[in-house]
Order: sequence, then C-alpha cells, then structure tokens
Amino acid sequence: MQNEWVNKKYQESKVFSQEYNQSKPFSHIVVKDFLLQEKAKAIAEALQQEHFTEKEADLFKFKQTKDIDGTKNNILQEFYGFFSSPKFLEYIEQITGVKNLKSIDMSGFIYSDTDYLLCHDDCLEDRKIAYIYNLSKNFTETDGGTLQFFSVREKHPVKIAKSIVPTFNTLILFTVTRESFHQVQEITSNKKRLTLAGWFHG
Amino acid sequence: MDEISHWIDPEFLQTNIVQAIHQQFQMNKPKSIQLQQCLHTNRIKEIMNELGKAQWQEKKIFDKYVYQTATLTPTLKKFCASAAIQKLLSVLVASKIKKIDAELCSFGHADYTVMQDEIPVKKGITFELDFTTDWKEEWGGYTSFVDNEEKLRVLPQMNTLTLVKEEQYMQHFVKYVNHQAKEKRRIFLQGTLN
Repeated sequence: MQNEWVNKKYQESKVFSQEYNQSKPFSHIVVKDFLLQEKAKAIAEALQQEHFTEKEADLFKFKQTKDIDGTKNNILQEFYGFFSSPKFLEYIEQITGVKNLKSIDMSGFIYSDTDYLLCHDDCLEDRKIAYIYNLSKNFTETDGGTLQFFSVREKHPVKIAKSIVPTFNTLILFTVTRESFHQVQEITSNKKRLTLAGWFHG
Repeated sequence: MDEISHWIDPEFLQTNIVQAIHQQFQMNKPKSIQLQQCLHTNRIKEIMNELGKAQWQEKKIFDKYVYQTATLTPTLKKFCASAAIQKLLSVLVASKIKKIDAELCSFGHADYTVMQDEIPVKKGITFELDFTTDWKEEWGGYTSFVDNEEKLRVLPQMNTLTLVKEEQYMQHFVKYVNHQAKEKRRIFLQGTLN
C-alpha cells in the first residue's frame, strides 16, 4: 500500500531515521516531495472542498476542518486509511524510533492573512509524534506562515532555532516532548497556507 | 496634592455618580466597569508627556508572553500610591483596596500574552488604565477575559479605566497584535487591586 502513496525514494524508512534523531533543536525531519505527485495534487484539491470553521483563542487563529476520519470525500478517506494503517504507523516508528504508535488524528487547516499559532509544546495525553503535511504552493519567507522551532533554556523556549517555509507536498514530523516548542508564524500576505496536520498517538 | 479631584475628572466625583458606578460594577457579569475620560485632562497631559521619554524593555518568554515594559512614570507612580485613588476605588468595588500593583505595558506587532495551564489563586481585581489612541479591534491587542469562553473584551481606548473582578476560573490575556497594526502600539497600565 505504501507504494501507492509514497514517493519511491522514501519507500525505505532507513533513508532518514539517522537524520531524524540528530536534528536540532529537537528530533524532527522535513521530507520534501513526500507523496507521489498526482496523489498530492488530488489531496490538495479535495481538501479545499472540505468545510472549514474559524477557530480562535489566545494561542491561535485559523480555519480547521472536522477530523478527516469523518470525511465523505473518497481520496481523503483513502489517504486517511493509508496514513492510519498499521504498516504506515510502523514506518513512522522506524523513522522516529518511537514505539507502539496506535492511532492518529488528522484535520485540515487554512491559515490566511493575520492567522497564526503561538509557541506551545503540543504535550497532551498520548500525543507522541506531531506531523504537518503541507499542501500550499508558492510561499516565500515574506508571506509568513513558516513553522518555527524554538531552542530551550531552563525548560522555556528562548530563541527561534529553525524556520521552515511551507512547500507543496512536504511532510514534517517531530517528537512531542516538554521541550518541542514550536509555532506557526503569522501570515502577512493574501496567500493561504493549506495543511493536513495532527498527531500519532501511542 | 493627593486630592481626588487632582486625579479624576470632576464629573465622576458627584455622590450619585459614584453610587451609580458602584451599582453598575455589581450588576455587570463579570463584575466590571469602564470609566471613559476618567483621569483629569491635566494628568493625562503629564502622563503622555512622560510616556514619550519612557525606556521600554522587551519581556519575552515565548510560551507565556512577548511585550515591552517600562518603569512607571512619576505621575503613574503617584497615581498607584495615592490614598485618594485607593479610597475611591474601594467605594467603587465595595472592597478595601490597600495596594495597587501595576506594570506599564506596550504591545506592538507580534506581541501577546497567553493564559496559563495552572490558574493562579485569585488575588483581587484586575485593572487597566489605557493610553492608546486610534486602535482597531481587528489588530488584536485587546484584553480578553475568559472563563471557558470569552466573557469580556476590553478594547484599547485613551484615558479609560477598567476594573474587572475575576471569579475563580477566570483568566485574561492580551490578544496577539497582527501585522495590520504596523508601527502602532497599545500602551497601558495593567495590574491588580489588592
């Protein structure tokens, strides 16, 4: 089933398990051209047809879908099935070294002008690995919307250590810990940042 | 010079007005009141003049807050220490105010505070005294009082005093200031009445 979805060069998880654990400021990986191109395009088109609801609190402002588990769209259903399959969970375990992943959740997100997600660590219940699969195109640093990782001193985030500009068909994974502080920088243009994101639970 | 009329616009100081403000505070949910054009014009002029010379310093713990703060200006220091002010506020909120703890804050683009996971034991009444002109709500920067959901939003507005009694599960935060604010900053005194 992996063959039907994942770019051929990434079929083997060994390709990046070492890189994952050596990355700074905490274990993560950025996998460019993650899915087969036609799959990524189909998912992006389908996701834009889903219903998004405005969400706002102290920590964030963005639009979000319900869990993709409940979608009526075929391609999204199939993608959810693949992403939550035991075989794919095993693949993620091999990359990250985190064992006993049991389930996932997945929502679609749109960040538009002035939307943001402030610095937090993601720690909650049984979240083990966070993922962001980016489906927006043509972003540059001046548009905002970068995913930013913080370095930590005395348990608090003190400095932005890495900024990742969203690129189409890129998967980002990181291990959720008390120190995995990250944020999505405010969008400062009229571009839309479209992602599927959630967690692998264990 | 610690007459109450030195500080507060005389309009607010008539007995029936003070009573009406007190009643309004008790009736509002959460218990709260906003007094617009509250300080005497001369005090505002002094404060605005002093604010122009304030030395702002960045305050930054990314998972809690990012904003600037400065030492209280001479007039604001006197305001917080004023027995007359404490006496008037005690009447307004029907509770003996012995101390005003306050911080002078400035919020510009990309500044914010967030609520804490652990709700601190409640310690008094939150107050704000605002010195911001021409602010737009859609820029953020307002103070949001939340108890499961937002119960009160205090918009930045020049010479406005806000008092809010935060019940057990209530917290507040200053909303992220987005890029539409450009170079504008919200400047206000925020603290607690104890």
